[in-house]
Amino acid sequence: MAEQGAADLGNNNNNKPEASEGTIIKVTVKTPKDKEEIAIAEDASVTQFKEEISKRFKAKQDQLVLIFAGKILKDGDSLSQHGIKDGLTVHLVIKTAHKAADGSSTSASSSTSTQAGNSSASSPAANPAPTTVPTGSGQAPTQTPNIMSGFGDLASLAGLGMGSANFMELQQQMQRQLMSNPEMLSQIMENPLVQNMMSNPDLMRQMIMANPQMQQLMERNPEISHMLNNPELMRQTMELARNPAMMQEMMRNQDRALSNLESIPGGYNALRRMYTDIQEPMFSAAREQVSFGSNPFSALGGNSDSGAQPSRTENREPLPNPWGPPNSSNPSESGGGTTGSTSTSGTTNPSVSNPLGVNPASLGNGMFNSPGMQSLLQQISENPQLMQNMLSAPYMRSMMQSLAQNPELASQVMMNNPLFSGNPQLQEQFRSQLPIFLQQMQNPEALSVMTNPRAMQALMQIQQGLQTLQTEAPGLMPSLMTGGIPGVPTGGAVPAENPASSPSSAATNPAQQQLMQQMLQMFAGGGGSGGGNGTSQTPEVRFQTQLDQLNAMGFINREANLQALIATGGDINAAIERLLGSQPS
Amino acid sequence: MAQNNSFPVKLFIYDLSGGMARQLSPVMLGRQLDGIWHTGVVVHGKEFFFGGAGINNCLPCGTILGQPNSIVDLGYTEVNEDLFQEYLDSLAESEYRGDKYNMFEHNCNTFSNDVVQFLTGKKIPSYITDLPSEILSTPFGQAIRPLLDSMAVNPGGNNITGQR
Repeated sequence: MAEQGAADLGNNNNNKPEASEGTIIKVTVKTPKDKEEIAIAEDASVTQFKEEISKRFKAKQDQLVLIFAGKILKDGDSLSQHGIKDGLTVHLVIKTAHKAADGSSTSASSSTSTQAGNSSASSPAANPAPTTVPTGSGQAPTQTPNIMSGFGDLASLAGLGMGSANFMELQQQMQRQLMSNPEMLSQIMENPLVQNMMSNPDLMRQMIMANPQMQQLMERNPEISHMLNNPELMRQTMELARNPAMMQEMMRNQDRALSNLESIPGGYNALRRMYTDIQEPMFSAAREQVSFGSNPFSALGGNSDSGAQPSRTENREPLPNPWGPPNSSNPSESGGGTTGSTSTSGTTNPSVSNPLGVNPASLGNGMFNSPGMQSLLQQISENPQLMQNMLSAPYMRSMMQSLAQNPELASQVMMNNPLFSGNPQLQEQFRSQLPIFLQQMQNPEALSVMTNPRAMQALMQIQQGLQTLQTEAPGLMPSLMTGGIPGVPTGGAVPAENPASSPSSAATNPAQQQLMQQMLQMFAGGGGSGGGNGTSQTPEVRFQTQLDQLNAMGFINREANLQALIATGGDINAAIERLLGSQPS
Repeated sequence: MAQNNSFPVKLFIYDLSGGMARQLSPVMLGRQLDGIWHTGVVVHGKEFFFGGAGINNCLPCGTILGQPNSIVDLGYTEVNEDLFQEYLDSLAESEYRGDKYNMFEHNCNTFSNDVVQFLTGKKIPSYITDLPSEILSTPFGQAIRPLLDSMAVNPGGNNITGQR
């Protein structure tokens, strides 16, 4: 019968099971995997249609479900009733009884496992975490939903745009590199940047607390929060983390103490219990962090004594290490990313493939000199998407926030960047631009602009244009002298700086200032509407209250006020200082 | 089969560029694109979409893309959840496996289009399905094609259909 059907594709007359006066229409029947054209009488019933289909698709009639225009075709209906005409497509699903059961059970289990929260599933997930790529679990199928949910944040973050494979791979490569190369690790630790970060207990605590998994952990184990709040302990921990030799010493002591403990009857059980209660979630929390190098740090912290770490409840030195260094590597990486982008001011000009002008060689010593890091950075710079991912990762956000709240720290971070140490002028500039810069880093639109190579190019063009103008017509724009230097990401700050510096110079040509203001507004407006919110308020509107206040205080030069406010990001006191320090009159 | 219930079907449309495409496309591409569209089909209380990892689903608005730019109401379907799941399973084994993802030719919008046709017989708005060809018709699009081909969009969601 199948041959008859196939052979008679052209000859419709032999195809009909019953003689009928109606015309024959050709209907396409589409399954998810397949597509066939079936000739049937126009006035045939659905049952007859199904007979044909079952012959063609080799399935039983009661397994067939036909859908047309969103309706399920029932046996009693006729094709014309549903409006099925020549040339139209009808969808077919071939039911398999056990498949239906499977479908519901797997969907149930995967939904419960994702809803059950990541922590419980994270333990099995933690182990394969360093080696497993999310798309292929490599474990028993029943564990698969667990692993995916255990990855939870990881997977969704990884899917931010690069696609899970690429991003995860990148990260894992990084991890592998770090793990295999302990020197790199110590290099990172030795970097004064890192050490600086780590010597600030407040910052550390903030960052640790910002990690949602950490928060979960803290809820379940209040001891951990005690630990975090104990500054002495924090300091000790960070000392420890900073000094790898000391860490090793600690480890050895721990080992000895633990082996003693094991010999006590019942002691081993206590250890076991403590391990499963406290350490596992900690480790898995650490491993699940999407910061570069988090895993090797946890490995470093726990590796030498993976079995039974927690000897005494109070003494947690080895334990904090998994998350201590990762948070430092996170800010150092992202801080490096930040400073890396700002430090390119004097070095490489950005190009399309190298949007941030990242010159790997010049990106500060120590941490970034190892080839692994460099290739990573190159990859990042060549792939703006990755940068975007990095920048939009929640950890980055919290890091930015803490930086913004603590401008001193931020300036410290930047000052420590060796690139700046030789150039005090640059330092000064950055210091003054800091509040703006930080604000901008907070602004997601600014971020997306920063990572958008074309936008960066445009900014560069603007800057270059300004510089050309400056050389061509020095009389016109003398104020651009200082403003022209800073790097690309502070290009946004450049127009802000320019109007600020223009009152400081003697030339208070209102036309110039208008131009500056317009540019600034354009930038702000472009950034604002580009972000999709459309709230592109001009600085005037934003600083209305401050302007009024300044006016009331006697600063009647509205232009200068506005520019000062813009430069200081709305800070009245700083604006006043600025105005006073650069009296145009 | 006594299934007379009707399930509403909606199409969630997201602009992946967050508005930047509308701004920068005339400059970069030479033609106006209002957005880089990603779509998900919402039916039976879940949002389904196709990404680099395969067919995924999550709660509506549950991806990191957040709220959609626009929602198109596509009417109703009689296909119930079980049947739909079977259909998706078949798709996940054949046309819509994870490795079949191609940013230009076989992406989330292709999937949405097929699914919506299955569910309702209608197609998704053409400005979405025309997007890849529009981009490719510009010299810039041609230039970045190799880069985009290697990328995949995966807005998260951990319920991958037919996960091995």
